[in-house]
Amino acid sequence: MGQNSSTSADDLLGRLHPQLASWFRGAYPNFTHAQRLCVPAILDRESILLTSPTGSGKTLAAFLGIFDALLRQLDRGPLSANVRCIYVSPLRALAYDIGKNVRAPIVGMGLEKKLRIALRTGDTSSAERVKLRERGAHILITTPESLAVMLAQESYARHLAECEFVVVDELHSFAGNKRGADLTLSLERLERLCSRRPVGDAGENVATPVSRFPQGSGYRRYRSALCRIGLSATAAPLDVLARFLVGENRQCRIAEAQTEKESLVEVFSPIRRKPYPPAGYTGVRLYAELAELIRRRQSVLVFTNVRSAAEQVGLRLKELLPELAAQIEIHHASLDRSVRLEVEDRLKNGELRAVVCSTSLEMGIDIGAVDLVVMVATPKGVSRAIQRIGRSGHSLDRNSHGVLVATNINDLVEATVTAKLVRERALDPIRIQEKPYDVVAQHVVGLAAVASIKAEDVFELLRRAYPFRELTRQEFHRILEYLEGGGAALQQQYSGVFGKIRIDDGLISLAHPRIAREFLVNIGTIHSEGFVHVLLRRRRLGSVEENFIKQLRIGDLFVLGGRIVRLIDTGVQEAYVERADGQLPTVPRWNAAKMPLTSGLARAVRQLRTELDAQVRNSSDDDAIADWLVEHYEISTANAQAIIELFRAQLSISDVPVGRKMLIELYREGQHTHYFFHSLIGRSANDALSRIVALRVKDRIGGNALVTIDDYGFLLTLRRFQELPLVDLQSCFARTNAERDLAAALRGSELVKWQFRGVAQTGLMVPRNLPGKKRKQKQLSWSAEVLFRVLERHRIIRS
Amino acid sequence: MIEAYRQATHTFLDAEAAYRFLDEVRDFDWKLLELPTVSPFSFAIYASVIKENMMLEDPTAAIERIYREMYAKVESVTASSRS
Repeated sequence: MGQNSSTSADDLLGRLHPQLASWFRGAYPNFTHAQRLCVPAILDRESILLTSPTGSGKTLAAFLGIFDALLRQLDRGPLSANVRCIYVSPLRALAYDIGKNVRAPIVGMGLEKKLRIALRTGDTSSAERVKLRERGAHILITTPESLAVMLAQESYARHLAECEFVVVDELHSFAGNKRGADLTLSLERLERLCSRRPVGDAGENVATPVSRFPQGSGYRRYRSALCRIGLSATAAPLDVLARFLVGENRQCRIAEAQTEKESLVEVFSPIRRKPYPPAGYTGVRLYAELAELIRRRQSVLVFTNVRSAAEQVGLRLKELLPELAAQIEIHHASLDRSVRLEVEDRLKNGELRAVVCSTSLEMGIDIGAVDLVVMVATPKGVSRAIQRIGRSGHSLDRNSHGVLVATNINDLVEATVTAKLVRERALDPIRIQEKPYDVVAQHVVGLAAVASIKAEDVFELLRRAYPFRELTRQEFHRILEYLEGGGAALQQQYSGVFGKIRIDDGLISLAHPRIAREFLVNIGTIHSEGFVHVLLRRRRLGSVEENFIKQLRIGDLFVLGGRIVRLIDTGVQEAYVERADGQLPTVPRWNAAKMPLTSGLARAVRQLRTELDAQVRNSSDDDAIADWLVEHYEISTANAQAIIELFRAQLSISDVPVGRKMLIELYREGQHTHYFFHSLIGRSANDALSRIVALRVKDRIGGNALVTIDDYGFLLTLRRFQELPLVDLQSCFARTNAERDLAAALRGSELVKWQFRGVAQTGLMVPRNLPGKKRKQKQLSWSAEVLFRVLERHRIIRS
Repeated sequence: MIEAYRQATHTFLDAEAAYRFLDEVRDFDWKLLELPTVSPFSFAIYASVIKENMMLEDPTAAIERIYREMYAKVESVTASSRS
């Protein structure tokens, strides 16, 4: 992977096509640092990962080099109507926006009749699709799902075979998930398609047949055909993301750009010296301060972490600011798309004073009018905080300004650390999702949908994509076996139903022509998550998110509508419960939508705890300690004093869990005993850990155990008779057989069942849609339910 | 099914981090403390259980009230241990 080196503005202008250089001089005073780093690489046709703060001219940095190539090709004559550049956006709204932004330089250079831009997303009308297939385009703006659809159809794919550039915007948003793994395979398929082009021929006026992939005469030698450009404001670790972008054994430059504009981050908390104010004080004061901020600012974007909080905060702000109520809106993913688009447009046009959102506006369209970002409750990650703050002052000449609002004392500690790491730009490393099998299944069918293909070629192609570099032959063959007839459990009876492919002499082809039609309407990794009706006998109690039900086991107790209920069964789209009055709930309702703290942030909180623990133990001079906090963490003296008081209180009755200390606190309350385990490893890890420990505790003593998790540990609530001495508790943390016990804890869980639903859809076992017809959520759930029961039974019998 | 289990343990849960912790924790200095009240550091997780059962009171106000009560206990414990 290459290094950071920047070109001077004069040199760069001299390298650009004169028409492009002339337009640039008229439109901009100078190149940004991002552009000086990125454009030369693209001019040299080198793939590059550009990481640069929001509003630093990243998009233009990518397109300047691409325009240069197109202009030089135009100098040699009109371009054939084939795609030269594909821009991939994670969001449809961003794709529309980029379409408009890219059109401006084309119009500015008077090239609107020579260079065509096309937009192809899930929203593109049939007429527009036909137009694209018939007329082609030079720059194609799309999403990962639409790109996969196009790659699987010859009528589109022939337009893509001359592609030279791929721009992946917001690369970080793809890297840690299945959608990104899916995109890397689409890029490998695109690379394969384009590598049939002769070297030295950029494809001008050549119509390349794509389904036959001609070999031999006329095709002299092959090369890596695509120049891949990845853009991100919060990419880390860079070397991994570069490999994610370009695949295995290919070169990629890495460029980290700085920006001249400032990014200001502050911590605000209504908590003053006494961290335990009178009831209601914090909430009232918080809303009052928020209202004041909105009054003083032009346009404020308020982030909450969950949708319900967005609704709650939005409502309170409207009540407090009746004169501005019409200019305060709410935005989250549960709202209808038309409502969201209207809010985005009004925000962009400067018509709104505040928008309260969950995570839905973290990335996407340029919302330049926003001059302040407020985060109510900490964003649980540094990259997320930086991404959010970058939504304000989103232009070259304006600063970004973010305020982290802490609503309680623990939140204040986390916000304090988050702000420090944001200032240091200590980005959270992204964890790549490794070789998801259902994505492999989808691409095998996608490849076979275009033409029969050797299994060996497919295997090689898959392994070139970074997330699949370690896919083994054995795994690959199991996936092929699954695609041939649903795998061992279903093959004997149902291969006609579930079989997608057949393999003859190592050549994969579709089992039936209808599979291609069905495949096209089921591409992608995004499956719809609905709500589940909770039924108490025949009465509907209410609805809960599928995500919440995922975490439950039969027999778990939870609260809904003020009642404690026990889960007795789950159906297609229903959860059946019975009353469990007076019993202890085993699963708190509100845990469902919480975001996990990133490991880096958890480490930094531990560091602050360690440092403060030492200071508080060694000195009684709270003013000096407060000064240290103010100086190192840039918080107010009042907030610093509140944090010190928290530590003193903790030390007065317990201990501070730091370093290699495993602190368990026991507190008896009525008939119950609470064990607080201070394992600072983040919510997702604590979730896994607590499932293992709870299983072992129940194995030892029987009965029920209520488990509650957060980022800093977990709470195990037992009946008094279930109490365990330290030595027994320690044995529940044995490393031996942890995998086995976690698997046992998950065996009866809804979590696996609900994961299966998504996997079955992505893996084409349960079709989301039928040609010309969208299937109802209930039908999807029912199909998955039946399959799950069959496969789970098969699994139990085999084991 | 294999992928569903993989996704549950590696995506939804962070099983690797949990296993790493189990590897390390056996060598930690273990401490079990019986407390007369919930400690300030444990309050957030405790409050989440309390909040779940709190249906008639504004959650923010309820949490603050309970926090204040908890802190009063902490202060009284501290005072009695000093005397």
